[in-house]
Amino acid sequence: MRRKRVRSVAVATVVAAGLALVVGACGGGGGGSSSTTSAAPSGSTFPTLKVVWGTTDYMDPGLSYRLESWQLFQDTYLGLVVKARKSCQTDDCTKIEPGLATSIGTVSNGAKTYEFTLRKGLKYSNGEPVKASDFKNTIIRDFNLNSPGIGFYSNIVGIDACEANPTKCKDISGIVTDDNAGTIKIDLKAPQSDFLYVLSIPFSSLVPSSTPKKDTENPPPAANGPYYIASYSPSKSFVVKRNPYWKKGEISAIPDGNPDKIVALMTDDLAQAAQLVASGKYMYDENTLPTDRLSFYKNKYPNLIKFFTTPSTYYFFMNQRTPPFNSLQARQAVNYAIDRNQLVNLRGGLGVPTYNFLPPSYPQYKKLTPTPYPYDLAKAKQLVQQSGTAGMKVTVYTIGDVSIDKATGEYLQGQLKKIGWNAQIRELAGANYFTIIGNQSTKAQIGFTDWFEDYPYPTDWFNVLLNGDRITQVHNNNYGNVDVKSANTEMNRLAHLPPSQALSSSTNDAWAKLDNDLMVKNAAAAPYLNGIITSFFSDQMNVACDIFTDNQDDPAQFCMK
Amino acid sequence: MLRRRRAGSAHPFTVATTGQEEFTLDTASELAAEEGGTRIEGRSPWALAARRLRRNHVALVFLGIFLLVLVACLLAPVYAGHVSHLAKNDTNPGGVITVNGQQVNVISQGHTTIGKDGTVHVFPGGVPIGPQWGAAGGSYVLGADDLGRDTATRLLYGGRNSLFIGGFSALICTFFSVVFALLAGYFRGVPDWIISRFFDLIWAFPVVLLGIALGTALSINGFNHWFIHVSGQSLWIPTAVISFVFIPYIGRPLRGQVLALREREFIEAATSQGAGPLRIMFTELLPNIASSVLVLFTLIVANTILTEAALSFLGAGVQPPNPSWGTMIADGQNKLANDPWLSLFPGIMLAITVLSLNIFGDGLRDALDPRAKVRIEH
Amino acid sequence: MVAFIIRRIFGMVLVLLCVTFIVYLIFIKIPGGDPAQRIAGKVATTGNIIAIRHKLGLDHNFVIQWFDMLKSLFSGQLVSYYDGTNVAQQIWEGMPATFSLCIGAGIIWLGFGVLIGTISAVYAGRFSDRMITGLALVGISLPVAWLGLILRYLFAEDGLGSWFPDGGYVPLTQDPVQWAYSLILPWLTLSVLFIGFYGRVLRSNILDTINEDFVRTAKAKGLSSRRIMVKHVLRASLIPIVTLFGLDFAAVLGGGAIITETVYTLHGVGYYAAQAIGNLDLPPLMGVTLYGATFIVVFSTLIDIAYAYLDPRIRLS
Repeated sequence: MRRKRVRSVAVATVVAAGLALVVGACGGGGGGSSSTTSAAPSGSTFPTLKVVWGTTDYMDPGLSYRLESWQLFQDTYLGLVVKARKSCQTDDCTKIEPGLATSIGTVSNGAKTYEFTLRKGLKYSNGEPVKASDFKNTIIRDFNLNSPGIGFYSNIVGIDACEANPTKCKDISGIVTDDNAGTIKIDLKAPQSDFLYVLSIPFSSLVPSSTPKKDTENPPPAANGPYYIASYSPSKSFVVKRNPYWKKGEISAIPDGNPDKIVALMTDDLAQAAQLVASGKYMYDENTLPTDRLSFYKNKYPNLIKFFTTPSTYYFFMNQRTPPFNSLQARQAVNYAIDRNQLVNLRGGLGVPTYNFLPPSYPQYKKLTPTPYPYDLAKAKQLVQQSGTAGMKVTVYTIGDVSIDKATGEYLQGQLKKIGWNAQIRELAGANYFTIIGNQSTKAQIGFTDWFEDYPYPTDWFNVLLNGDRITQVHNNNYGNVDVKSANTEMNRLAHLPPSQALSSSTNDAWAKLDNDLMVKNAAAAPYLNGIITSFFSDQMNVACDIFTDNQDDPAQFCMK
Repeated sequence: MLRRRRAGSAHPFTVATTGQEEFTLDTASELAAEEGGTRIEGRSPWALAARRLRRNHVALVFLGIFLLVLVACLLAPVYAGHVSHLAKNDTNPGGVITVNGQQVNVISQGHTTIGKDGTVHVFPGGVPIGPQWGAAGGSYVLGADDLGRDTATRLLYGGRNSLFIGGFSALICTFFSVVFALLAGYFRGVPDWIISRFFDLIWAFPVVLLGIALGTALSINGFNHWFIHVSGQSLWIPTAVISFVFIPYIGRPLRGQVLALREREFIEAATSQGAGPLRIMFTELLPNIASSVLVLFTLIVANTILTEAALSFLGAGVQPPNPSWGTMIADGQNKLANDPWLSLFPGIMLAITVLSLNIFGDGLRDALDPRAKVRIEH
Repeated sequence: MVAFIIRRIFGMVLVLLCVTFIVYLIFIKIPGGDPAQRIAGKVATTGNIIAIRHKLGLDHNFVIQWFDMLKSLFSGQLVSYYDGTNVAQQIWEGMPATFSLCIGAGIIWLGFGVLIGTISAVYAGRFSDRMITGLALVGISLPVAWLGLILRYLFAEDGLGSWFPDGGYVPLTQDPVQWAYSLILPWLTLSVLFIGFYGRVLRSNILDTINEDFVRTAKAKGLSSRRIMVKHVLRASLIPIVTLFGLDFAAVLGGGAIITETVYTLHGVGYYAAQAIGNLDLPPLMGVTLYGATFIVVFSTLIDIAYAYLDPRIRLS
């Protein structure tokens, strides 16, 4: 079965400190500057964009946790603040900009209170006005839906009752709204560096208060962006149309978009998707090209394929609570034993080798130099000997129903064998892989894992994946049980900065140092590549319009030749 | 394997080879006519069947082919040790081999460059080397897979696993079917009712669906109940699953035969001589269904091997990295465009094996049960 | 007769209930398969997991859970743990693809099966018979998944050419030509096995029938051999084939085409089942198994009843 793995999502936004290089002309759908060679043309409107799309979990912004949906939500469901729709290759794509609110908010009370004012006269696609209370009701709705996103709001004052029993959540005292004035005031328990990013993800995107408090997909809830999802047939198709109530040019960060309508066929069959686009029946392939046909398509359509690096890191976790990986030498040995170029090769070349934990598009990223762990089997073998664990049984965990993940696990097993461990492999279904390795009773020693950001701030990486204070018995995300006291303290400090300091250069340096400390000094994990995805267009399309905004391209900005 | 019933030419549910025609019923003269007038008196039915089989050259040739495959698979370690010099799970992704004096990468190397303007250029790689036949000495005769493992070596080891699962699941399945059929047919009444409903129940499942569901569930954590402890990777899991789903396909026709035999005089005679149930079942009834069991067994092996491939294809069969022909086909599917051989070879081996078993099974049926015919049975 | 039918229907319902219970048992105990943990997402809170467990009824006794699940399945309320879609509706939407695949393949396999069965019986023992019998045996020896992959690669993915769509199903109502076009390879893949099998069964049926008394009588009456073949032999030999067809057809409709649908990404019931297994998603699996088992059990029962009705020799006990 050629199937994409259920992968966690990401929405892209900010980063890039105070030097927000606001290239003047990029908003508003019109007037893009074509004076520089690198700037993408903005194109003109056209009637219908036919696309092939991957299948997704939900089409309800309160429930979906998949990139395939979030890519659509960027043009349909907006939050108080939004991420910039700018190319990561040419612009600062990581900036948070005002969305439904007039500004990115005013911060007071020791960075614990955020105040926003809604723009006047905004309406949803069903004609209802956008009200301040919709924000609060959206968050309450998330809780009532048992949304996977509710963990993002734990720092809001008065959220505890809702967390204890999400289904019964009725009110959140820390959110105060005034529909007449259009103001929203949010009180936090403590300062939070990434709170604006949290407000930009779809779980925080406003839906009308009248939206039923259950999975709403046919059609999905009324939208407030330039488009709305007119119909959705799960795993089969969807239609996106222009929102008749959208105020053109009102929100400078959000272009009005080119296609009047987007019609999508949904499939997970990568080969089928590519062929449909190559034949001209569809105009854009949201799925990545199948690796075995990559050279074929690249040679045949060199000008219709774009490659983008994604803010994702693929790494091997090593469980520090179980031998042999409680030994630093053993963890270093693994880092020396994997040839990152070969791991990229396993993906057909769709990856950039890395030794860092953070992805390169982050301003907090500082490439680790010199290369900390060049491929060196002899050295790895020696380290295994020194650690005194040679011959020990080591079980490699990986996902068995995704061929590349499977091959990756088998590669690691092969390498561990070569450096002197008795390596076994355990392949699990993608559907419950992370629940099983995230359960301490499994005692998973080492294995494959990857991470796609939710929002582009390092808290979504270090604090979720490597913070020793957040190790749990079940549904643990710190699969390696990495617990470095000094790093934990630093992470916690960096997570609670006022937003004015969150992107300062000293903060960025502190994050970069954390990356270095954990990856080089502690060898806490073995990161090996940042993913690359493809965008494949039919020859009706002008590929130059396609820009990649941190984690995805924006179908609203596509244009025809 | 999508096919629901393939036990012989018979339809086990409403159509089946029945016991009334077992070969012992043939009169000497009829048999003599069939044997071309040669002397047959004093020979056992088994000897006669063996003689008939010997004359079926096609069946024997295919038996030979099957044995050849079997022996080749059993010699896998020899091949790995002396020809390919790569063990079954030995990866060699960065390896270089010498082909006709030239250095060639086992896996083609791709790379990525990122331009000054941020444009990403990917130069695809990761294509494994194709079949070298003899050009690279003994290594990579049939090419490499995406981790640089030797396809020929894995093909032989994979055959071991496929044949192991096919053979043992057919054995287990036949064993339980015979026991159930004897119990149901001999005791009739309540035991028959229970066993028949059990058959109905498994029968009602779509076979592949039941197989995959069971295979998936069991391979996650193995089976650890009562005194049985089997790990999730064990070959016994697919073996048990496959033998379980096929039980009614053999059990039903056999039960019909036993029920028919049970009515016959020789059983009555045995009972009147004071023979107990066990003795009647095993010394009177069993020999009389033995020929059908043998025929059904041969034909079910072909099916179990195919089912193993189907389950492995959907990820519920042999657990990696150990190969089986089914997992090799499944692994190759994502490399079809670059290297179709990866899926082709195991498929061809599978087809040859199953074909030879089917043809030999046909010959065996002709020899053992020459007048077996399709008949409606209730 | 009525009592017999009632008894069969009662037995049928019992079997179906047991089928759902078994599927339920197989999947409920999967480690890490707790749907609540998966739904709660990667930043799960304990409160949320408890609430989800309660919402899905997972905090009940497992027999009650099974019963609740059946209840919601029959009231059309059962939804997937994975994407919240309605199970009954998804099965309903998958049926056009599955039926298109199965009906088309059924016609092909029945037609060709009868054709080659008859030809090889008429020329029994000659070269053409051996040829056909041999091919039929090759057909039933090919692994379906492999055959599907290779056909798709050769004819849709530039192996030899790309003359057919590379997977996917086009609804009949949308474009009849594309519909047939997209189904040619799947039809072939699914029918190859059955053609071989049916041809062989028919051949042996015909050869048996030729020796029956009524055929000898017809011969004695001096009827032409063609007439005997078509009017008497073939007709008599086809009855078991039709029975066989009824059951096989029920089985492929009921999800037996899972591999063909998966290989060609036909969004039918089998594909839905395969996805559900991949997602370890119990509710769709319950739905599909019940749907498939219903076809199999109902067709079996109908055939039994039809036989009981047609053949007075069969005892209704």
